[in-house]
Amino acid sequence: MLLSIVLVVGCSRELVIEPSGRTVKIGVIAPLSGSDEAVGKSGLQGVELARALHPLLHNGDQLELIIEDDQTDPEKAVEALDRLDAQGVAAILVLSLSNTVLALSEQARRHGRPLLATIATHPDLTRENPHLVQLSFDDALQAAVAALFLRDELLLSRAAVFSEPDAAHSKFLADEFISQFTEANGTVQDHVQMSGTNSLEKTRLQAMKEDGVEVLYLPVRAEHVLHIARRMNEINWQPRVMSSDGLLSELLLNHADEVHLAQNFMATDMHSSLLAKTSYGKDIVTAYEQLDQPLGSTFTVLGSEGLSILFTALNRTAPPYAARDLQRQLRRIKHFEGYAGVIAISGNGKAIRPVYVNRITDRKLEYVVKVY
Amino acid sequence: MSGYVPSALFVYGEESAHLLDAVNGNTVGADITPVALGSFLEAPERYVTDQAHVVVAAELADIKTILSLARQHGFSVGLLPSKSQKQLRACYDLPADPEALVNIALRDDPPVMDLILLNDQVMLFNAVLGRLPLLEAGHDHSRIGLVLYSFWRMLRLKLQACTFTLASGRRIDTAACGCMIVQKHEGSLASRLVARDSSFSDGLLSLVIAAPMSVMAYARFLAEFLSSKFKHTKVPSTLGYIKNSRIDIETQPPVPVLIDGVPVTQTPLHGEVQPEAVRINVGDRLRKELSGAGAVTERVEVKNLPQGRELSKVLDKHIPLFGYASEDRFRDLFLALREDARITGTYVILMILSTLLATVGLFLSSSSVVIGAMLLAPLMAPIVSLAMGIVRQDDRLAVKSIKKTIVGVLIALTAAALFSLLITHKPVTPEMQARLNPTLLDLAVAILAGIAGAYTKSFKEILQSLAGVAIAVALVPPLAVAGIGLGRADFPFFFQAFLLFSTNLIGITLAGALTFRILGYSPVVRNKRGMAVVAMLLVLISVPLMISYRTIVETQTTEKAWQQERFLVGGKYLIVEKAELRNLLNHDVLYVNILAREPMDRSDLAEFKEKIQRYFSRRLIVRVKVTYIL
Repeated sequence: MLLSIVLVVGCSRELVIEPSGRTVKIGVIAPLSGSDEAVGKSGLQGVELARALHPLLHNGDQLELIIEDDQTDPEKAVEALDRLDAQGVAAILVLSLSNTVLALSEQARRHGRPLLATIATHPDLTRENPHLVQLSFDDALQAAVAALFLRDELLLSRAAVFSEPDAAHSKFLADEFISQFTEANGTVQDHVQMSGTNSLEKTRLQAMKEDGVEVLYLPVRAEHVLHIARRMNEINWQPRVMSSDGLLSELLLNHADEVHLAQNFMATDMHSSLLAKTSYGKDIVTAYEQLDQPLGSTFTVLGSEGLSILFTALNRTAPPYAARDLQRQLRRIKHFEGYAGVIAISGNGKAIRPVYVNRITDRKLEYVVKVY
Repeated sequence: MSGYVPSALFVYGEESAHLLDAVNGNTVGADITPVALGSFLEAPERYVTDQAHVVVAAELADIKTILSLARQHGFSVGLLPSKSQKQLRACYDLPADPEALVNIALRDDPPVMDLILLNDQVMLFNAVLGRLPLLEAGHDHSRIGLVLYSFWRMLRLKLQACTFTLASGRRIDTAACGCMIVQKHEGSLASRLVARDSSFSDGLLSLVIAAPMSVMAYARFLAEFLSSKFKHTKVPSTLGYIKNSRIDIETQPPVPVLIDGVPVTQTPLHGEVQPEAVRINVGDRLRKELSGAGAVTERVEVKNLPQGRELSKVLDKHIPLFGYASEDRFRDLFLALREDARITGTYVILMILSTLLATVGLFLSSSSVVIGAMLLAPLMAPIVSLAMGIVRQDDRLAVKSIKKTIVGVLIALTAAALFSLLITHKPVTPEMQARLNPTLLDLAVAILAGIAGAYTKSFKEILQSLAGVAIAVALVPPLAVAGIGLGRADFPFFFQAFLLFSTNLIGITLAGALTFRILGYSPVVRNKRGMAVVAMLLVLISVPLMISYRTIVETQTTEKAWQQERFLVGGKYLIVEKAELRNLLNHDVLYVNILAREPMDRSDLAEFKEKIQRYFSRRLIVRVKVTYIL
């Protein structure tokens, strides 16, 4: 089925390449079970679709995906990395969240294999690690955009922040937001640390309302966002809400019946629903339509982009695709046509791509501004 | 106060036999002698010797026969129209109530009326020859129904040769699509045209002749006619009107004539009025009208009908969508346009002065000075003449106009070029820039100016200098900028401005030509060569337009997209308020207005530029204007 999609979408654009008979192994670590199962499967779908669009490198070598389930457990992810290394993969795509990728980061240094993290955004991922490339934007950028958009564009001055202290990504975003917001002369009236899904007292929210809080910053998981939204409705309070990347995707994947609670919430993200797509983006959409599936999430798009970037780097590297050469090529990508625009990879392994501030409207991300 | 006849004959057809009781039992006490129609017609003199008044209830054709007999034998008539004879009832103002109807029919003072005979056939309501869309329709159609019904018929109208000969022997040779002879037809729209001017006893018949020169002219007339503000005092431009005691109508070829909706004869048609031929009982309103009717004189209003040389050009052709005009009809305008195509000393001087003033205004970047220059520019005259030359396929007029325009352009370019040589400093002011980057709105200005120029020229009462300024707006500034480019030997500069000028010039000319066409100035005979010229000009204009359009669309898309762009530079949040991409002296210059809350330093500016450049394939010059949000 996926191969037939290639015939529909890919053949008109590319020359016919003769298979060389050689195979390049690409490892994929994804949470295919556990709490992040939906995220992992969504990302994997994108990877497989990208492979269907480009089954062969320009020299005819075939891509073979070796998929490992990290079970949403950083320790299991490390074990998966060891197994993949033992199989001699040329590179590894990691479709897991920041906690897992941070755990893999040290191991990656030891193995020396190139890792491409598609959805993890923690800024420490690429710190002093020449083996890791981060396809998503950095959380430092994301938090700054959120804080300054609210402060300098919407001219809001009183915020409250929520975070999950056990999630590195959430904690970092919250701290960075508070720093940026206060530096811009805003005030953070409260910082709530969510421990369980029902840990927010109504009285606390009521106090924020009475204090004149204008905006809530919620870099937390979707179930926490929904819990807060319910509490807001209970006290009849509708402040502005800003969340972080992947919120709508998570809501659609895991809480489809309650997406309406997040109507008009804003969120920073890698993409937006209504953007003009590049030709690559159109190919992805067409391929999904052939599969009779809606293009469900940002994770899918990032999975596609991840493998496609790897594909680009592999095409610039001669066999046997030595790790060092491949890493160098990955960090030299200056103009990759992604789903909705150009992506570049800087020398420090971070993707240079804009941050979208979106509004969730009728189960879609409505584009408000794009921040470079 | 009316009295009633003591006795009367009641002539009834088979279908009216049921009225016997009502008539016999009349409340006015008249003694009724019923007679079947057949019997009456066999030997009318047998019955009318003793009876001076006949009440009749029968088919229309039989009623007409009885009216002829009434004229012959001198008896008066009362009518009892059936329920289906609405037209008859309306025509004589008769009520629907049977008792009231009978009472009126038995009155003893029926008014005297004329009888109109067409080829010896009695006409009660109207007679129609040919086609008159809408006019022959009755009042009982809805307006929308009428328009829809008539629209298709309008498109297929043809003018046919007709000759009208009046009682005096005057002969009128013309062409028409249809005629209607009207007595006093309450049921048709045509009767509105003659309402104030006709009566049952004026001894004259009214003839309305329709000869529209174009579908648009006819549609315009109908729109006015259907409007409640229509005044009957003037004959509309698509019609002729004759009021005479006798009219003979000949057509080539003969056409059928419908008398009261029935095709009973054909042309040649002899129509005459039998004055005071019958006495018929009518309703109170009509009775009052007839008693108050003043003298009506004959009328012959045929100036709107095609005659003379025009005639041969319109015969047997479907009327065009837009009108045409003969030189006879618009002589003064054509003479004025021919004069406008001459090159005079005044024209040369004004071109020099207006261009120099515009050039100064461009250097000063002063829009008011540039506007002042437009007031002087004499460019309207040759361009409007050229537009008319194209429409009329008048080669002489077109060539003279083109020559005058070229002379004006050369003068303007030379004057602007020489002036710019005197200025050593070579700024590119915003006023100049605006003429280097044409937008669709510039073309819209040119088209509207062209329409205005042609329109004002067609109506003397409009001050023509107003349109002249509009035309100059689209031509003088780009011409001056082009001249400046020549003076600087900057050919891209010259070319961009001249492209705008020539696009506007062609746009104005074609818009003017189209306006003249719609206003009805095109010649009767169109030849293919003229259309080929127009088509070629259209192709010529579309090439630079397409180039301009693509550039404009690209630029506008980019500029619109920029309004949602933000930049995080050195930790500072920059909001793009507006971005304009312009090509200046072969460089791409991006003008960006941003909002910020903190000042930027040198490294911020460098980072900002780097971020912008990343998304453009061509190298950019960036100019930033910062507004601080407090």
